[in-house]
Amino acid sequence: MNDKIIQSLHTVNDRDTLLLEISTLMKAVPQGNNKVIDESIRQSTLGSLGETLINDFTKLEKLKKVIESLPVIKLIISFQPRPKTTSRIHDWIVGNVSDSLLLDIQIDPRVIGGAEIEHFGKYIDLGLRKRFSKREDRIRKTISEAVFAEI
Amino acid sequence: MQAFKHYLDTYGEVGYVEKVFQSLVYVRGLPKVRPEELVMFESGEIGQVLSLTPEFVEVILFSRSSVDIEVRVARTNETVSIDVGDFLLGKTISPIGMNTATKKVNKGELRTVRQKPLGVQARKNIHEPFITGVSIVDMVVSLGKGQRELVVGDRKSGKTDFLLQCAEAAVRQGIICIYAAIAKKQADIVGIENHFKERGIASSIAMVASGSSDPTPLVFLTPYTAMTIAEYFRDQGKNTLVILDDMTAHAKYYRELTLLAKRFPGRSSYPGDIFYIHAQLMERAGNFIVPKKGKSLEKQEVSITCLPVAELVMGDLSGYIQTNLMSMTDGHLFFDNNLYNEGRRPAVNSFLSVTRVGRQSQTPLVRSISRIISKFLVRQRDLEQFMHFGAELSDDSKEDLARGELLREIFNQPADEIVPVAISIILIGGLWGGIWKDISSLEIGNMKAKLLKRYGEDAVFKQEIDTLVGSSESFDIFVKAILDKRELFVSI
Repeated sequence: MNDKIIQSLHTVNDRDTLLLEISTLMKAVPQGNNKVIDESIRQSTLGSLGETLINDFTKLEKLKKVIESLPVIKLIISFQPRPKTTSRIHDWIVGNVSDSLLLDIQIDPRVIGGAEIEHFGKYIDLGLRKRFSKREDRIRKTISEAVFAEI
Repeated sequence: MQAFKHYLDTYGEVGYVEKVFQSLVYVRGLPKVRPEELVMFESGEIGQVLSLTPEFVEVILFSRSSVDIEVRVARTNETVSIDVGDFLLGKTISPIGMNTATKKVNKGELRTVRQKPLGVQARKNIHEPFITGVSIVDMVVSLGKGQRELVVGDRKSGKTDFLLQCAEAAVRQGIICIYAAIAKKQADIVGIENHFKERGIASSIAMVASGSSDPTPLVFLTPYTAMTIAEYFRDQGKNTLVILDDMTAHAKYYRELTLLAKRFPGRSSYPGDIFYIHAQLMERAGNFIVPKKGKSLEKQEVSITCLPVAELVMGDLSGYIQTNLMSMTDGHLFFDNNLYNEGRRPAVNSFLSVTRVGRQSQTPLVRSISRIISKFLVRQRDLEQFMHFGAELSDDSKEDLARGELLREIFNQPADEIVPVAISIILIGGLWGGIWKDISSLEIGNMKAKLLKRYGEDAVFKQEIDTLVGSSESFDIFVKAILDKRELFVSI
């Protein structure tokens, strides 16, 4: 049951949204607040599983712990990806790296292209900015020659 | 140091700030970071790794400004190092090597601040006297070059004045002086700097200063930086004096740091490794045999003399840090508040002061004087106590009391006066020989001033005095010699 829920999570935002829903449910159940419970189940990512989980409170707590401990891989890219793109990236990671990684996507236009990747304290810069800065003088010279040639 | 991005790309590791408690930062990440490694924050601050836990890396921050949560942190693969060189003389620097006047770091030889002390094979026994220029210390509780002597006393008991006298005397002997002002008020630091400039000795003194409002990790580093500079000069073949003022403040700041880091508190809430923190510092001083600069096969004898300072509360010598320091040094000079209140300067209590290795460095004459004076002072104290009962004293006892008064006056010394050993010996020899038998305390004070002036100005007189002192092996021989030359002293 947990696997289905976890597979539906792609990004850190998805995780945080789900955790909020679980916290709301966990507060509402002991209070017997049926209105909140119904609202939460209807709109939640948990969906139909929500009702099953409410009946067994410990499963809800266990699920919360599992979600909180999911590893995160950070991607710093230069554009805002569409949900489809995010999904495709996530699918590739699941197929090639690990089946329970969450994406933390940050936007930094200065990267220009490629990505800077951080995972478990490791960092690697595969962005275009780094490559351009190595060849900065040559690029600058080429551009200025081209501009002056035009003039 | 390089830019943050350089370290990020070079070592491929990143951390994020999770929690900040004043100078202590908890970082998540940095899987291969080592203890005592420097780390750089994306906002430009530098920190040092204090310890590693499974979840976090504990980092102490060297800058006054704090860091924000979620700021990135990169490893530098470096430890705390400072640039050392002759350019440090005449300057005051911060514990991380920044010149406090120019706010710049001069480039020199890079040395790690937390070094291991040299081993036993690189050491030699202490055999040369260290002249402090203070009569009572040079005559009764004498020190040797390479000795670690604790200067201990209450607040405002004259410790700093004594240290400044020692610094001046050392510089006049060609010894480099490193003064570490640990958690001092800015006014005090400036006062000490000005004192050195006024006395014309600033060019042979390097000062490492941290203010009381500086970040705790910087204060913690101060004595280590001073010792690193001293080791640089030692390796250049120059004898060095290191003054650490004061180690009780250093211990308090370290306690603050470790309590913030939730270390289990020991006695008086100090951490369990407080002894080690100070001992590893004291062990870096001593008398060494090191290779000559540029000639690795030739050896030379060089010393680092250390004068750490410890503050007492109400004269209590049994404090934790004070007794720790006493056990790891080669003796202590006790500055008695009662003597200070009686007007004695310096207020050194010779009965409660100890020198473990000073005697072996004394000349035979000074050793015999020291023995005689020590016995005399004990007898003097007993006589004074006996007087309280109103008993009748014999003529000998009265003479001893009078002599004791004059000796006290000889040992009385203002803070700006440096008394050469030869003059102290002449005065004591003259007193014992009876040259200045029936004079008052004021008159002997004047006599001392005249002797000092003539010794400093008249080269022929200086030569005669030095020959007189140098040619006598024992005190009796010396007294006879001085009586033969009494006209020389009576005519002053």
